[in-house]
Amino acid sequence: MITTIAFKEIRSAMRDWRFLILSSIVFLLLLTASLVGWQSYRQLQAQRTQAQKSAQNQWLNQGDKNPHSAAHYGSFAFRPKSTFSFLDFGTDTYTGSSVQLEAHKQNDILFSQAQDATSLLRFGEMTVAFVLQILMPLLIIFLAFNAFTQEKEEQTLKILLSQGASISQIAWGKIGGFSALVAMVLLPILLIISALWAFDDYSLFSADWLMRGGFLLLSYAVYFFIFIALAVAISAYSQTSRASLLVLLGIWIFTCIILPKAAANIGADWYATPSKFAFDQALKEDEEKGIDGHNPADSRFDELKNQYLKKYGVDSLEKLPINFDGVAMQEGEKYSSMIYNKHFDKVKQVFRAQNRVSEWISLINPYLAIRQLSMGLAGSDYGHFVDFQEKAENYRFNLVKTMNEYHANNSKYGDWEFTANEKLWQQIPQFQYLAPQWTSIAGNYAFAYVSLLVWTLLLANILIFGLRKIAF
Amino acid sequence: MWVTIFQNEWKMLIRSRILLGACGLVMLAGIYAIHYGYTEMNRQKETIQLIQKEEKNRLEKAASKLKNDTLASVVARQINKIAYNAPNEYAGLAIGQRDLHRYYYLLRPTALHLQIYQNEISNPLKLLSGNFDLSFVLVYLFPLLIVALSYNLLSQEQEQGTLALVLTNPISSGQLIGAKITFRFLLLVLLNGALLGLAVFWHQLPLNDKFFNWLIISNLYIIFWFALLYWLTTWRKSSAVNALSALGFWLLLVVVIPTFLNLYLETAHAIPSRFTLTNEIRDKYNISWDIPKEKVFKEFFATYPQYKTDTVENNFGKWLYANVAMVDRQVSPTAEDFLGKIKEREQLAHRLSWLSPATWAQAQFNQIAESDLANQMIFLNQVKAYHQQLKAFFYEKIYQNKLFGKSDFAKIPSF
Repeated sequence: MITTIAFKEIRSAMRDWRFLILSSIVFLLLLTASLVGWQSYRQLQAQRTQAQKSAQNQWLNQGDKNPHSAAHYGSFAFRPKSTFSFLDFGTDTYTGSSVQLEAHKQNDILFSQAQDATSLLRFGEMTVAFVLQILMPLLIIFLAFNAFTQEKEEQTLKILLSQGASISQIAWGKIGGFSALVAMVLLPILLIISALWAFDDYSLFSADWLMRGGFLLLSYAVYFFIFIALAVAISAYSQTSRASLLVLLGIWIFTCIILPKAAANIGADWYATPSKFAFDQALKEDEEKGIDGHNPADSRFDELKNQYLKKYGVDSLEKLPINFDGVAMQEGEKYSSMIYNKHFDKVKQVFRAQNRVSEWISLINPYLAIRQLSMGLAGSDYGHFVDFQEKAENYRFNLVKTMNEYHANNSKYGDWEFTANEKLWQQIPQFQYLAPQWTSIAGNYAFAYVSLLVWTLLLANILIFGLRKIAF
Repeated sequence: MWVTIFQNEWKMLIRSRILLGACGLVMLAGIYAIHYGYTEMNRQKETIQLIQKEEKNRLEKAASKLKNDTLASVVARQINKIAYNAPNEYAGLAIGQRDLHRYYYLLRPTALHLQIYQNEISNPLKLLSGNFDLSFVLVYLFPLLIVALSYNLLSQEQEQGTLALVLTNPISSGQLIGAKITFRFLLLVLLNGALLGLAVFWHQLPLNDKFFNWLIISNLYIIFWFALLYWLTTWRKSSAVNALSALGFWLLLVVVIPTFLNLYLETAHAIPSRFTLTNEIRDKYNISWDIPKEKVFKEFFATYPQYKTDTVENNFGKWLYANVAMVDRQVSPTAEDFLGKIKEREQLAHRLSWLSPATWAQAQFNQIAESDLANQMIFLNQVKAYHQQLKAFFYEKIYQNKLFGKSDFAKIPSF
């Protein structure tokens, strides 16, 4: 019975020119979005790989110089695009792409595409994720808003029921039919995307890639099921097609347009983001007065000096077997790094609190859930950005440390004229960013799983047990 | 007749909980949007005030610590003067790009290009979600409300079977639609006026040309949507078809065209990687330390003959400022090239914004609020000009070996 109904839905949709036009539009949008997304992904990736290579070349060929000068010269870290980011740009457009790594300071990750973009950007970006998350539900609504109401209006529901079908069976048959139609629109795109990969780059395949890809497919399947089931359920409870359509469109407007923006803005309203100025002030204060406010820079230096004099049993810095300048600079680096991390953690906490508002609201809003999950799986959310930031900072710290230690071990106190050469520069490998494994970060998306799961169970429950009492 | 229709429409509106709810909701959204927009802009204002206050304290402290023989070149390396782009009175209504652009810089007369490439701290997810300001309510939600109010102008009467009855009165169906749509139009104009009025009273906005421009543009936008709905009504389709086609237009004009415009600009007019610029700045700056001093001075005095002196040997201060001026000069063609490309694209976007009323209205709102990229470009030019001023003030003292006195602090030019 269920399959018969499903096939009937597919047949009648295929005969409906309105569905054919709308699904072709969605298909074309998806096609454009994936091709353009892929193109720009390839371009950015090539640009950044090239830039990273040339940064390393410059580092290696900087000539003989004092290691501390080399640390000042420094290098760059470029953020590679993650494999799936061409489907979902996520926050990538709004986060920086490269950071200058140098001694004494943690630079910002600069140059987001957004800062050069025109105001048009704020209308959203035409990505595959955008079409799937926002436009696909509309196609589903259009497909299913009159699933039951039309049968009611044309008095065919009674006939169906008299032939022995239960309302629940009819509902599941329709859901099956609509799901097949949605799959028909999506399958070609899936094939095209796979082809892009197959012809282009085999090196992308890995266990993590498969897991992320698999979860992406699964999450979107669940998301579409939620909208299909919702549309069918509302159609079943509605008296007229008009009422059903209006309720569904209202839900869509709330879910996809109003709530996401409102949630992000309420978060920013409640938890104020510190200004860069305040942030820098706090860093400076801690640097001068000590992280606990009782350990000023001068006394930190004296303490370190006495410690080293004692350790080596000498009475002046000149007599130390190592260059104290290098030691002091490394201690300073450690200290400033500690301070930076302390304040950076505070900023991250503010952002996390702001984003938590969206996460809570995602429990009632499947769009927010899929958005969060999709960005996470695609490796283009804030969490992945922070991961890059931390790994770039580790690399910087290690670079400066290597320079300082060489400085301390290979020269005399006060000697700023001695130089190091390429041998030392070669000790710093090229910066290579590896995104975290999905298994290690999957726990961060608990709200999204719960939301999708609860919605699925709730709707399945209604469609199995709840439909008996509907009026027709 | 019109009075009767208006009275009838009013009664229907009051009785329809959904429509009344929708109006109330848009109103509430508008009120929240005004609150949010001004919260955000006031935070920017407060930050600017904080920096100004801190700057005053810092300068006073520096003045009190000043020794009798402090050279201007030493002070020049220590001061931080603010250059800022304060939000105008109407910025809270259309935040535009202000949330992702830097709105203040702390400047000293050293190399400009080592000072202006900085980010403001901002939550990427928030930037992605966008601002819930009044311009969003107007551009996105007002059309939806208009659709909800007017998609069944005639079809409802048709479907209820009341149309024939109404038309027994001395009125044509055209007049009926006209009256009904005028009623709804006036309602929306009132709603829009109420929201703007609320913002004006709440935040003491001046009733200047910005106010009137805002009023005109928002009402033009409302008129466009009613005209579209009127046109759809003349198709004489069923309510469901009307609702779907109206929503289709909304989707096309507010969602699809803007995103495609953006896609077009991002791909066909892509801005080249900024890496070339950063890399050049780093290299020029690093190399500059190894360039023979005579060469630096020679070039410097050729460009700035007014500072020419004979006693430059071994003067670190004089060399340093000649050096940073050289670095700025060297990288500025690349930097200007970038800015030129960005500007060009921004102007193109402005011209193309005519393709959809939504992008047009948004662009106009951002222009009124001075919160778009064009405004940021103006600010950057002001920053450059101010940096020149700072340089002129200090360089004159540095190259004439002048000491820096307490009274000089008050004379440092302010932005």
